[in-house]
Amino acid sequence: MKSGLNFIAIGLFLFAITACKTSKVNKDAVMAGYVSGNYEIECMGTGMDGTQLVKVWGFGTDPEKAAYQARKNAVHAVLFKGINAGKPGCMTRPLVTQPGAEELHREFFNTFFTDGGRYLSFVSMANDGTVDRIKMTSKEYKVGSVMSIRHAALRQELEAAGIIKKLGQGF
Amino acid sequence: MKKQIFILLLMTAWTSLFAQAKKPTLMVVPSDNWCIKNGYTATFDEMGTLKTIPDYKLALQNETDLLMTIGKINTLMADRGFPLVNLETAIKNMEQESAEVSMMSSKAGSNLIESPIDILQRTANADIIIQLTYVINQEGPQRSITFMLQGLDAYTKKQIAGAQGTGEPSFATQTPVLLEEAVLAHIDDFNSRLQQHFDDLFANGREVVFQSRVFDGSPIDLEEVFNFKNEELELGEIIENWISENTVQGRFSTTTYTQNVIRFEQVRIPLYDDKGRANDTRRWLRDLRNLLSKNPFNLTSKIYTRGLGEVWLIIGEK
Repeated sequence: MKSGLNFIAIGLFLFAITACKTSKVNKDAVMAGYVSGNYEIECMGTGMDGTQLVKVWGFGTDPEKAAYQARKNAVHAVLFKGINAGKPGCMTRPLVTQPGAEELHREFFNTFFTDGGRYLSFVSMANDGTVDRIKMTSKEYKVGSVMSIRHAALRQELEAAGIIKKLGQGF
Repeated sequence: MKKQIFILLLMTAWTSLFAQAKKPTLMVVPSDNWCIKNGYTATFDEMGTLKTIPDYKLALQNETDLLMTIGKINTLMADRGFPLVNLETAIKNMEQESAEVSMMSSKAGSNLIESPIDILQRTANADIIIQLTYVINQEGPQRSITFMLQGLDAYTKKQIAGAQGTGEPSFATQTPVLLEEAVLAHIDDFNSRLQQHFDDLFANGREVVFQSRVFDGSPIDLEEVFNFKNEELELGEIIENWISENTVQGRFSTTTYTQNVIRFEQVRIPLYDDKGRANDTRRWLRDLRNLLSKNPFNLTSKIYTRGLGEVWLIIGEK
């Protein structure tokens, strides 16, 4: 009887740990789509003045959602990661270099990256719209496409919002 | 009276509120390496030793690609709200000024006085030099460009920003297109690093070099001992203490200390003085000169500045 109780207690303990972990994962996913940092991005070259071309991948439950996530990822990479793979010609340093700025200006970025949000003004498909599509599981797609990011305009937007400084601000 | 005090306070507050630090000037120049490799040099005899220096004027007159690259960088920097000094214009202005100085005279026939040091200082200069180097690489039918921008602090001699890399090899691309792509590819990374330097400047003060020297007609040198604030100290040590008290977090390092020269490097001076006004090396050092002119020192000294970043205090004469 005692060993049975012990078994139940251990079972409950393990269940509690699993529940906590799942809740953390869900919380991250709910926080904002752009928080997930496991996307792939590579430089495809320099575009016209103030733009750069990247190939970026997104994940989603259907190909359309994955394509939208890829757009977010492209803007997110220019803002917070820099583009360090692929051909030369892209910014290897991110626009936002202040540590913890993503958390500090959380409200701004949550609004910026909402579905259909401002981020869409700074990214566009760079080719005829063809995408690479991989079916990962029965419920997950991975979609990659070449996009053009207006990083100069993006920088100006962040400068206007006071998130990054203008070059030589204070002089 | 109260009204006058109020107005004075208001003016002080206004000055403090809108005070801006002295803006450093930036200029793009081709590197010595590029000039020498492309044959744009001038040679002169300096006390029996032949010296080769870059000839910027000749390079700008002959190399359209160079002119275009400098122009592109200048345009992009102006778009960022940070216009640069244009090398070509600076050279022309310098020549024009030389001509005007030599021709100008008063109605009575007096000419302008210009010491050798004035002539020496009348050069195209900037506080930060953006040194440009590029090489066109040819590999079979393919061409690529290796491009390098170095932001050099003209006074501390430190590289404060940089961006470099080799572009994608291409079969058909012309040199101007390769160069334009290279500028577009690197300028933002370069500016990001430059901004980091400016942030450091605002946080820790402007880094300058300070030298204290002695005129040969001076009755004393820097090892002369004075009783100052109840301490027996050498003049050099008194200057050192003053620097420690008047730098951001007391940051400086003494690199040379002799009876005739003391050189302080990495001296971090505040961007604003105690009244909230923009500071520069001359303004910063004025208090030390005033201190030395009083008891127990009673010394005459001369402040000599080299741009925004280096200042000398020469003791003994004006």
